[in-house]
Amino acid sequence: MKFLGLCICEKVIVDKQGVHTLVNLMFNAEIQRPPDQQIPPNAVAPNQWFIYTMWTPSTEDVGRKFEQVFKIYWPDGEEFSEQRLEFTQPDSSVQQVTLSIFGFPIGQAGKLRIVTWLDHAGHRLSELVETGINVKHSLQANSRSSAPAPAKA
Amino acid sequence: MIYPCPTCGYPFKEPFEDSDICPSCGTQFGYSDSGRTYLELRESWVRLGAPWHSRVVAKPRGWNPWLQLIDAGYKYALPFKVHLLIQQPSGTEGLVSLAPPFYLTGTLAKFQVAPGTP
Repeated sequence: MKFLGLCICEKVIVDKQGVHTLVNLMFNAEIQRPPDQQIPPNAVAPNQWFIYTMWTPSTEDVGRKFEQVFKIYWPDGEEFSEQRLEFTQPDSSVQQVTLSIFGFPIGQAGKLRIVTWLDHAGHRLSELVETGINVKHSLQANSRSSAPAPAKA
Repeated sequence: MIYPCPTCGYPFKEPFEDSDICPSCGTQFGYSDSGRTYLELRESWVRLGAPWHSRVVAKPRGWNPWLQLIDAGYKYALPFKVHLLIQQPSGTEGLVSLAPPFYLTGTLAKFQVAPGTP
């Protein structure tokens, strides 16, 4: 299996024909909080998000069973979640693997790391693939002046 | 089958009985919940920062109290109400017409006005 693509997005729609549509690719996330609230460093927001990947099979991959491993790390390096998805490659066409996660880690500002790879028969088969989302904390607009600062003449 | 703790949503594998203690929030069934509602117990646990209670049962790897509350349907109990905004980086778009040049020329020619026309 050869890595073809990895995207983080707010939604993946899969229609009855299996056509995938990616909505709102995620690169940067801004977490706005009221000034009177603190966010604990392990805070999670009740938002759903998706990790979408594509793999190109070789002829010997057809009929094989794979396990895709997803690891998500907090900006401080601690592991947030590990998930595994099994699939059997049915034919020689591109395999799309989508993981839906309910709960978005918001507790720490910095880069959330998402690492994924394929296992086969208990061994890592593919390269490690990594992407990230930059998380920024800010105060909610209604709690401060939301107007931009006037430009200096 | 999972039996979630009515206070914190910890997923018990078997139905809990009186005197059982939830390792996550410390609710002792038949004791803590006499005279206090689960909502009150939940609020009290959340106010403390939702810590892992048990010193006997090890905290599961990757355990997160907020995820546990969300999974159990208690997302309203989260002590932080935030807005999550997805910001896009810059992008570049290209528009290419694959029509041959003579087609474009012909289309434009249709709209050319003859000299001297009012």
